[in-house]
Amino acid sequence: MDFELLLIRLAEAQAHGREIIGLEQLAQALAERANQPLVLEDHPWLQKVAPRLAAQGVTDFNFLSEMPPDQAGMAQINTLVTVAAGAIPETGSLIITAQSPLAFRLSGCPRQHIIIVPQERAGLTLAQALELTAQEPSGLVSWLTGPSRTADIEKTLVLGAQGAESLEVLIYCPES
Amino acid sequence: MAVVYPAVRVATHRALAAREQLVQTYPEWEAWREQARTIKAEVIAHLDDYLEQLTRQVQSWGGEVIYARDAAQARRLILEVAGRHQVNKVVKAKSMTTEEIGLNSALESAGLSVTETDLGEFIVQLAGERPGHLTAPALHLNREQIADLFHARLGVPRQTDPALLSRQGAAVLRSSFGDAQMGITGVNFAAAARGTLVMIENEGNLRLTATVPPVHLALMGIEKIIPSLADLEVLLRLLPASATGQRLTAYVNFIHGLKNQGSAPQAFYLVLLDNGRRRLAAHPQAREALYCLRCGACLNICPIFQLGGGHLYGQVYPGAIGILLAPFLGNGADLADLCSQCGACSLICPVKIDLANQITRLRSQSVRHQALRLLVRATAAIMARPRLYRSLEPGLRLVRNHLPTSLQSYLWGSGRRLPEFAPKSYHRSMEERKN
Ligand code: SF4
Repeated sequence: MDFELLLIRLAEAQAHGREIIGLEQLAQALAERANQPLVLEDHPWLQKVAPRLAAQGVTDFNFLSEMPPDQAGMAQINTLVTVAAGAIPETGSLIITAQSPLAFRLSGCPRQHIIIVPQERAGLTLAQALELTAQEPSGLVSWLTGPSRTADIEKTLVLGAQGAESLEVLIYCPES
Repeated sequence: MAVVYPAVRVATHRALAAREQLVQTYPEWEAWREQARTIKAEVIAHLDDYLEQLTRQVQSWGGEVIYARDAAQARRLILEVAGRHQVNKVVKAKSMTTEEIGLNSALESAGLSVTETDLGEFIVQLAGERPGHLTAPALHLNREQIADLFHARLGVPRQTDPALLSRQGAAVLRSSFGDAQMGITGVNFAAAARGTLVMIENEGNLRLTATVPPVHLALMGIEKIIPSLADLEVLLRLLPASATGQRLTAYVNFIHGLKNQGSAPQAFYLVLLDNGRRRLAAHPQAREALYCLRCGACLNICPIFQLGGGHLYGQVYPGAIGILLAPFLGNGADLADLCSQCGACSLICPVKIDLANQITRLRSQSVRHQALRLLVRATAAIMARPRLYRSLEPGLRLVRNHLPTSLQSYLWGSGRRLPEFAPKSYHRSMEERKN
């Protein structure tokens, strides 16, 4: 599959994207970000990557389920890693759902958000994405296109005032 | 003279340029406009059927649906919901429909605290003003004015960089989500097929407003219905492109289920607002105004809006679309002469509403406009005849300078003033000088 358009659109929306193959590369990509404490969604892929992160010397990471449940604690999260349901190359959008309610609610809150997109669903057309969204059992879906932005002051574009300042997308294919 | 806001001109031009740049890359644009119009026309023609389907579907996933006939009833019903959940603090995401029903002041006079969480709305709220644009509420204020406002009201150091100003505002807003019991948002589209509500935004504050407080109440005009989510394939391409020149807004939020937050009780209310919309839907010539997506493009392109800004109209909805909605949704104001008949709005509208011709139709029915026209014609006839003019001049001066303000603002609009006669005509003064 060719993700050229998705990567172009992500870049246009001020998000960074790249392709990742296999757990080893995923662990490496996350380790690069580990100068900040990482908080990981409780997703099978991330559970599998945890020991490898530790092996790379990254120790400052937690799963969402281990975080204190109070909302103030959540506001402290600096870098959040979650798994998306798909991506739409035409618009450079990521589809996130409330299958993990906490990850959904926190998406966009931390300063840095790393989103992992399963490769086989990273090439959705707008029509397919709408279909997927209409079927979503959790009932809550957000499409994210680039970081939060505002142009309320003299139409000058400002990124991340109310949401994530930076958005990084890893197009992930599990088998190496 | 109406107040002229230079910031409006700069900002509208920037939005138009961004739109133009994107639309040029869409060869299918005209076909999409056609399709979008067809979708909206279908819904407005069968509004009751779609309303019923939407209501059923939203109820089926656990949302409560409330129907409000007019603004007063909507305010009362929303206050009832707030009372039921012992709400004293409300966070709000930007919504013109809540403006339309005057929700903020109703909540505040009932003793609730209300925070607008969209940065532009927050600025406008802080300044104690009304939003001046459909999608960019603080358009009429420049960075200097906002810096003064933040410094005075938030006690932050005064500086004028838009990025830093945005962060100063956001830091204050962040803290308001946690202790609010109810979040209020508008709705951009409501898909009847599964009862999915769609809300678009760029800042992320709407997402927080909808998901953080235990109660979420969404208010929508009944014209926001679409048959199914599949219809968004064209509508989502048209709306952000027309509004800001974006392919898609930073967030598109879809809701067809209750949020799950552990043991805390969660509730969702959808308030369906009529407030004149059914009457408009039943009007065969005027009903196309209900196809509007509220993109704001017809405001941006309008030479009158560019000069006068949104407050010139004295209504919640300004611009070309505001002129069409005022007789039905507002206080019945007749704004049909706030138009230069240039026709640009009809060409830019993503749902092909024939705004310019609609405005002409309103004009031809306007008693006020006929009276004004008569006055202008009579004045022209007199002024074209110097003898006649000179003999009538003292009388004309007397009439003009003693015209009651009420009659004047009826004819001329409250935002504008008819120039007064000079105490002495130029002609007279020259003659006096010669002697
Ligand atoms: S009338 Fe058309 S151009 Fe004007 S705001 Fe509505 S959709 Fe946009």
